[in-house]
Amino acid sequence: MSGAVALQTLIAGLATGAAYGLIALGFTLVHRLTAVIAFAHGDIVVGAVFVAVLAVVGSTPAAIGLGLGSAVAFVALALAAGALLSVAVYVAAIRPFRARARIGRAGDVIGWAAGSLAAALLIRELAGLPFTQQAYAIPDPLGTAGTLGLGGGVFVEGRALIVLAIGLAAGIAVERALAVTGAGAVVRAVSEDPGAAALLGVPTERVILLAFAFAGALAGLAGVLIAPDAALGPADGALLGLKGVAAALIGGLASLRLALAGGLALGVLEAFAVTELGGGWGDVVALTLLVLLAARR
Amino acid sequence: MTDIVFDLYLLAAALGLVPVVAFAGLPVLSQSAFLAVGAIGAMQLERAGLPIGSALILSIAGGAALGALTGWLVAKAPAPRVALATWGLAWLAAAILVAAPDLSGGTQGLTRPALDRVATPLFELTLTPTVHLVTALVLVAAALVISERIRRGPIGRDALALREDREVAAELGVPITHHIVTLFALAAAFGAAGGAGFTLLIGVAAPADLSPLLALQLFAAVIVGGGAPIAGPLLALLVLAGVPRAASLLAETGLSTDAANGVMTAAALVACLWLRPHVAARIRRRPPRPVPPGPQPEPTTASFTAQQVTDPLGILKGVDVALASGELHALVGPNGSGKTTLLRTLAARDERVARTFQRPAPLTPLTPYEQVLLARRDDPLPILELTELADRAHATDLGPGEERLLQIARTVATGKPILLLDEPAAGMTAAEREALLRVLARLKALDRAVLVVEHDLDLLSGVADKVTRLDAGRVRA
Repeated sequence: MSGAVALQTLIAGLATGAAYGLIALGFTLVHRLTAVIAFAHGDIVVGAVFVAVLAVVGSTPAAIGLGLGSAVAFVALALAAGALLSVAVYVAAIRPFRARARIGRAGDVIGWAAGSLAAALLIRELAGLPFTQQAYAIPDPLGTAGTLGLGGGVFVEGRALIVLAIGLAAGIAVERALAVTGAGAVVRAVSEDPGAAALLGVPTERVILLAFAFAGALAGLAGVLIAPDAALGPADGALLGLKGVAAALIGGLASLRLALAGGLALGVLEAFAVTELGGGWGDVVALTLLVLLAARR
Repeated sequence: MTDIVFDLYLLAAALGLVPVVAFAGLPVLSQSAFLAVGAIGAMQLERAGLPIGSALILSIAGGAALGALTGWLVAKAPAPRVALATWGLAWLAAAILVAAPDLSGGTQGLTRPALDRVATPLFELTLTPTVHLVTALVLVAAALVISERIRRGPIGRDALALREDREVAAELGVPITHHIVTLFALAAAFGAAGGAGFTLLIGVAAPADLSPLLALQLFAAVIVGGGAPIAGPLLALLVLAGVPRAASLLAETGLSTDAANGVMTAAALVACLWLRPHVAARIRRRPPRPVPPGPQPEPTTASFTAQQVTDPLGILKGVDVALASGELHALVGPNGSGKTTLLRTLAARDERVARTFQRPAPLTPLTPYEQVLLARRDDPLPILELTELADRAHATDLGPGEERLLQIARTVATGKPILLLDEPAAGMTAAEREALLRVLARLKALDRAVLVVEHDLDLLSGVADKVTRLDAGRVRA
């Protein structure tokens, strides 16, 4: 592999990785508060994109340019749909199985795991209902950013750099906002000792709902950023979610900053696996990492 | 007939999951991966030149080995991590089948003649659907018998303890890793056998038949019955046979086959979750086979000293502890002074130490008789007599005070010479406190070295030999 190709792979990997990082942030936020693994999160990413596509472009999307107004509406809708779906999954499929949980524990794990996997399937099939093809080219709200020549006939898409910048900015903004503002202190209090936080008058349940909404909005943003990269289908969510949680596991499912870094690392690892080993092996490498990291303790 | 035999092979794969999912409470979402090992393994080994019988046996052994490896990997992980790791494994198997078409035969899958004539050392037979029906029924029966034997034996008891409270199970010496590896290997062996079976039946092993969606259907089929002896397998069969048929009905309305399958699998999961508590409430647990009368607990001798004890969180600022055989040592101090932390730290340091928990630790479905058996594979009655619980040996409605006495009984049953009791009097009635004092006196008579955390020093004044006051992680005179 030449240096230029390696650089091209690295930048493409970092851009995908920034989106994985945003998905990983959602997993981490929710896990810190509730000890729950949000199994429907990946399908929320893709579901949010297809809700926005349906509303803005219609049921036969193509990689068309969006005007400024439609681009803003597209992104806003994806964020809102992500937040709504995430809260709905929590209320319908997760909360009922945590009701009798000992404080700070995961509750009826078989219950919420099965419930959120069922919710994931329903989101996937409902989002896919208006669409007939397996995968579509999704419009890019960033427009076409052109390419950057690196010499030797190797080009980096300008889009990859913009995605990387937006993903990192959003991730760091979330991380800093939680660290600096009172909201962060509340989240920390609830995640460290929910019982004590509740006694002190912290509205634990409302904090959890907000965290799920926030995780969902981040999922929507990640979806918008990652969707135009390659053809996307309504059924692609589960795999995307598993890569997001693998990235979160690299950060120990506890640190927002490390979750973001984990996303970048996974994106690069996968990009190199694809260039070196061929198409399907990127998934194999990412999932192997997931299994090993999830089991480690 | 092929359809129902296919469903029976899947049923065997689902019933293999019962001990690990329903008894041990672990969410195992990777059964499709183990099915794939059986299905693809048998096909590929036959292509490599093995007779089909050997290929079958080897592929089932391979499935069991992968199951054991998975169990070993997740043995120390909490349940949410087990769900995640096994769900990841189901997708990993699917991703490998896509990435390596040489292995999986691509989207078409691998094929072989279904009505094959095979030679065994004793006779030749044609693999007709009837032969498969008998094989599948034998597999299902084997899964049921094995589940039932596990349920009634020590592994089932240990698995229930593990499901209810892993920390307590570990404290009582339950071999957690060993059991998880065994139960995973068992589940995977039945998964691989079911996968190999239906592959030979239809003559195709295709990635689409071995997808993670199948793992969810198998999981739904197991959680609904929760290991109920008769309703369990019937409900599981209903789920496994019902989902594809309902999906093909739904597909007639114009929905794609994949989408109809997804919707019906989700519906099955929801229905099973809803039914699960109703079935579980009806499972009547049979009392365990009585253990023949066994010896009284033996006296022990052990002294224990620890100096400058500290903990990773910095709660203890260097505490000295000395315990002697037949001595009862009271530990007092305000909330947050580090009493429980000291007990936890000491118990982690020394093999000879057993401790009780400050929190309730009921292990609910198990009777006191069975709970003592967890720690001592011998007659529990002498221990229950010692802790004045003999007439409650098979009770399922213990009060909070009786539950504290049971915690002490379990620690005594470990046979360890040094016992650390964390607020044993909490929640006890006056009569139970009297009983507790008699129990403590008996422990002294058995030469146990006992450390008791208690707020009410007056209670212990008659039995305590020494009193240590802990404050802010330090010993106060």
